[in-house]
Amino acid sequence: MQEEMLTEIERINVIVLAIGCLAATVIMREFRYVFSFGVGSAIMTLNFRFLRKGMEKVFQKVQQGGEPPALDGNEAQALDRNQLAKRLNKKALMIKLPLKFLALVTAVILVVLYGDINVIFFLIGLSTVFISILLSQISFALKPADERSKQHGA
Amino acid sequence: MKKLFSILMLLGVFTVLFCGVAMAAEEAKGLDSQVKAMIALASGIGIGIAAFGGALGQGKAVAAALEGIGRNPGASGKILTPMIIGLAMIESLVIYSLVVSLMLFLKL
Repeated sequence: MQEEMLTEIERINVIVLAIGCLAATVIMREFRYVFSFGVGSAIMTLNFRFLRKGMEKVFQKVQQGGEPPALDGNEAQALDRNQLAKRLNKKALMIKLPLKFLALVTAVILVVLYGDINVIFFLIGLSTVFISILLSQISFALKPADERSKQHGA
Repeated sequence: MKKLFSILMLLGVFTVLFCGVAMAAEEAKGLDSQVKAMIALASGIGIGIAAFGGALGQGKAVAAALEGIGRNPGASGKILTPMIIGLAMIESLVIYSLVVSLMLFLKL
């Protein structure tokens, strides 16, 4: 159920990208502004998607692992940590996530240095994820209580 | 001691800030280099603070999430969603700072 929230945020990301590009075209009527918003928004949309996929891959085995043994105290904590460390996908955590971040930074640097962009529109584009999270939470809060509790898994 | 240290640090920051403003206003010839120096300083310190804060925030978020998942692996799905959202938001803030720092750097 919680995964639905992330899927919804991704969907709203794409909607914000499309509506933002349309609004920039209608209001500014210049390619530069549309390009700035579109590139910023696309970068953050892809970043969110890859972050989600990466994190899901890291915790894939943990989610499949099931319940921990019923032990108390420090022994249980140490056992939990060892089990958790064994179940984490280290390749995804140590290689793929840093590579994703490096690609994101490279993309932003290349766009800012070599692209003909308007910084304000680029920053608004980079705020797409914030806007999407806000919109998804507003839509979640406006839902009826029983549907909300069902979606929250309570 | 801690208070004295923070007061001294604040004084240092204000001195640097006001020296820059005062020196920038002095001469037309000196203005350019002083302003450029301040821009370089702002660009470096800005991205430094953003990276430091972002790394600290992401580290704390992931550590807390792993602690929670370690204690209760069954709740990993519920813990993972807010963590991903939090990480995305922290990353966005660092990227904002990177863009602003790059724009400042391009003015040099």
